[in-house]
Amino acid sequence: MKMLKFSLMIALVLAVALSGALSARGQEANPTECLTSFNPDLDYFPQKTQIAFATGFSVEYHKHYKVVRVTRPWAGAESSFTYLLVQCGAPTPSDEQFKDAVVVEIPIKKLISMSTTYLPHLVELGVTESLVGVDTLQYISTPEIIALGKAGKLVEIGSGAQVNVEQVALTAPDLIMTYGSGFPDYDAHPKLIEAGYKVALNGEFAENTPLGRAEWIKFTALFFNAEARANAYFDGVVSEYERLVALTERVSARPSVLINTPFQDVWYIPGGKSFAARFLLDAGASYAWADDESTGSLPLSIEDVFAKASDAEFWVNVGFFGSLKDLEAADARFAQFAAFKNGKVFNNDKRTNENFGNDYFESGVIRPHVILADLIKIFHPELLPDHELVYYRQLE
Amino acid sequence: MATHSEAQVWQSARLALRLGRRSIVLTALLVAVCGMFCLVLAVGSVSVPLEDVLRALLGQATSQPAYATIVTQFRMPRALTALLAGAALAVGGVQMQTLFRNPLTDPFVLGVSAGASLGVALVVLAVGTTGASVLVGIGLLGDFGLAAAASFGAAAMLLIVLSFAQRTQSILTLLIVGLMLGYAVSALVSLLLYFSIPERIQAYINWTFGSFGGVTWRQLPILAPLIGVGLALSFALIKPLNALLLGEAYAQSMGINLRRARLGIILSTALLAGAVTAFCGPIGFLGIAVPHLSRILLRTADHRALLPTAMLLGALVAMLADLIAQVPGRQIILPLNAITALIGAPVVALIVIRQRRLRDAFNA
Amino acid sequence: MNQTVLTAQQLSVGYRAGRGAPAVVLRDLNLTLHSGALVCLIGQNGAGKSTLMRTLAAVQRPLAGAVFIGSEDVHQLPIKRLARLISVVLTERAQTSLLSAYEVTALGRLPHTDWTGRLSETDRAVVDWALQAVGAQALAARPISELSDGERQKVMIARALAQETPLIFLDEPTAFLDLPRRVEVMALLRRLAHRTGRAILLSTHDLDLALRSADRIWLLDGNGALQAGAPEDLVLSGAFARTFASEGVAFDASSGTFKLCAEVRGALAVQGDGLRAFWTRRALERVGFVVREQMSAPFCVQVTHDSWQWQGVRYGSLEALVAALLNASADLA
Repeated sequence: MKMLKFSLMIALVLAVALSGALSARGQEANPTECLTSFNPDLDYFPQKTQIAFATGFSVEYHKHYKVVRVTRPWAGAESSFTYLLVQCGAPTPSDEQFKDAVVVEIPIKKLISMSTTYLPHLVELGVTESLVGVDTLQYISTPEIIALGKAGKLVEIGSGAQVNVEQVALTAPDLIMTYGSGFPDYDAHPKLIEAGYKVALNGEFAENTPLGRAEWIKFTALFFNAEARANAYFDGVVSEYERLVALTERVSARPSVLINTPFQDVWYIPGGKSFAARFLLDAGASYAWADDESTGSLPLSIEDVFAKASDAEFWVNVGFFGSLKDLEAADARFAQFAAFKNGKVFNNDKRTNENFGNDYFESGVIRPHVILADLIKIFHPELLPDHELVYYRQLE
Repeated sequence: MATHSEAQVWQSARLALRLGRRSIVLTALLVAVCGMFCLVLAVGSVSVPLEDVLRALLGQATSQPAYATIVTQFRMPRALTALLAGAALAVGGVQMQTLFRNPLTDPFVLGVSAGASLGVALVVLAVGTTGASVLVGIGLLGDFGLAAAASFGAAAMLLIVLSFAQRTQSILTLLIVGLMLGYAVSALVSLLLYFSIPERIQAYINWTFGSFGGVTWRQLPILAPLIGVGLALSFALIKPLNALLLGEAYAQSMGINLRRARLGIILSTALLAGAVTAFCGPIGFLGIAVPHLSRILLRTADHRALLPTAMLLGALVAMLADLIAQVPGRQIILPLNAITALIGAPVVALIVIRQRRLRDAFNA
Repeated sequence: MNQTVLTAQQLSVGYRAGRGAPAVVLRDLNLTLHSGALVCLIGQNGAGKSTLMRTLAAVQRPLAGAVFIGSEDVHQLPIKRLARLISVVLTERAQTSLLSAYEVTALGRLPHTDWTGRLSETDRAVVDWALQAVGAQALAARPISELSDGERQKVMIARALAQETPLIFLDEPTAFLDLPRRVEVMALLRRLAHRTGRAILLSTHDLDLALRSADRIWLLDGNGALQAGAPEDLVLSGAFARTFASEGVAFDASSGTFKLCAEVRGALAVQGDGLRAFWTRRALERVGFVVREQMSAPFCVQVTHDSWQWQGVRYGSLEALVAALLNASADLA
């Protein structure tokens, strides 16, 4: 009897100690609601994320707020945007260094997305119900969002400098996520900021690597306190991507590849350090302009491209052409390219909706491992015998 | 009244008409055009050795097979297009400047080019209801997708302008109507741009840069005859054009049917400007500046000499601009319209400021 | 020479403005133009000079009647045929261009040349002759924009000559010219009419020159009627005076000039002959004295070869004489 009482006492003490230890550590997960009580010593964000591949944004964690800096909102940007994500229920830090930052209370409940590329983030993070508005419903491919649209739950606010601020007012969003170019004539965010809304500038398209671009799912996650799911998702993408790259590293022959098509006589060829080139090189192809240092596109004459790449084995991303016949009809000289003669022309428009919204530019952005698999399947089919093309199709 | 001998009469005519000068100018231009044509074939963004250029022209194999394709499939059609387009725009400009007696008119003043832009905008920006490919319409029309669209637009504009030309007496009214129509059509294009997605807007903007390189051997057999007919028509109008130099009242007193002359001039210019715009996009400056340069070279406004001079000079300048746009030696190319404007505008401004005669010539 | 070139029968000219009655400017005209004669068309502004010329030149349709050249009705003729019958010279400073005087004159050959406008041997000879005829040979190679107004009009006349038409119409060709140039052009036109046998019709405001140079005058009285005749006939019939009578201006038949009706201060007589006497009379009239043949002193002024005398005083200049007369005008009234 005395033994039992003693063991119970020990158990009780242990339990108390454990719970005390637990409570001293704070939460187990990032908060999904506003705090009811606030303790300045608690770390309210136990689930943190780290940015490994993206170079356009960074995050700094503090006990009850996060500092997110978007240092490259668009290519060649000279300005940056700082966001102070404060946990709802906690006080906003009044530090001098944050006086120009945009204060956003998290987790946000209502989001407007001005690009289709952010919509797959919401699905993977499990926060689709928070979407209240988009720029346009026309080009969306993500089924969950299409359903929301059909149910009438989404407002269309237009895009660019003509964004409809009044429609925005109808939804009273907590945050609007958009992209920018730096040209006030074309950007939506100056008008929205002026109207008093919180605008998150998403600079994923300035990233030059597929993984860097995909990592911006974490940017979205920060506003929802959904780092755990973002980490889980992204880690999976990274490991698969790196596995595929390892596959092609040892390949003996790298076929040469040509990208996109010219208009009239200007051919915008992606530079050697560009996003498009990265994909090709990671997929085990060789690229005639791999030595070029630029991250953007080079306007070259068709003559030039022909001289350098007429014998390229493959031709990908040919733009708005449906068939080989269309391609030849547009310019008879395309038929002179080796890739055309051998029928090895592939386009990334396999998943397109009836309004020409291309899923390659929607879900494809956070599924670089799938795109890479497609490309490897095209260039080195023997490496992935069971993979079926998802985003790419061969032109007939 | 003393009468002169036949020889004296011929001598004074020769002097007064500056016939000597005309022959020199025309011959020099002919030589220059041939020379420039050869230059354009030999030089481009890719450095092709001269022997290979010659071999390619003669149909023989070249050191690299790509070279033969480059010279025959890329450079030849582009050189021919530049030549034809330059001649067409220059002659169109001469006619418009004479008809409207205004030194600042160009062949696009009647809105024909705006109509072509609208045609292209409709196809590039607005097409695509069902079907797998955005430009499937273009695929169906083949090579001529854009050119056909532009031609329809230009033709539609032309019909509207012609119907006005039939109804108005005053040439000034016609000019203003043409300009206003042009603005209205441009506004429509803006609307189309507003509702479009970025890729298509990019495609349309690229079209507006103007280019001679988009015309292939398959398209030349359409472009060349159109320009040929336009030029032939302009030559048939030499007399009315000369008569119009004194004004419509005098022209009529000399037996010129004003209505027919007006229609002929408009038709010829629309054909020339419309065809060029349809296949090469809108190309500015050549139509305004080359006529002025021609007049200054010849020191006369007599269309018998002015038209062939403008033709040759236009071809020369167009090929030169294209050559510069190719930036031989560097890997990039520049938009053609920027080159024609950058080179030409200061030159014209300088010439017009210094030549008092030119101002007087237009009663300015 | 002296055949009838153009006839107008029962011609009424005016404007049709929309529906409603047309505005008739001149009615029931019967006119002829003869070869080798210079006819001047004169009348007040708004009397219908331009309308008449435009109708005769077939630029405008008549309201009634017809115009014939030979047996051809000008309003039924194709323009090309008309171009061989009528050539024009207009008031406006011709839309100048980089053409030389020769080239402008050569344009007159348009109705005669082939489709490119190439000048044949004959054409060149005609152009050459036309330039000589107007005295503009030296200007041939110069651009027309460099010529003075007078020289330019001569070239435009040469152009009309080169067109080799039996009729030449000129619409106020001397409007922008200074007096010496106007005289020159009128003399030129007169000479051309007589020597080349063309029928020349010109409208002008230059009444004095018209009276001196024209073979015939067509006078528009401003009431829709036209009087035709030799200049002197029209003066003597009083038509001139009636047509141009207006406030404070009167046509003086004896001098063939217009006089301002100044307030009359008195009457004087001038004794003397020649030029000095003539101008003395003019001066006295200018300041308001009526000049009579004979008057007794103190109403008499003597003109000598070097001075003027009045009331025993010698004056060295007309100005002095006039000043003295004005001072004493009360006594002279």
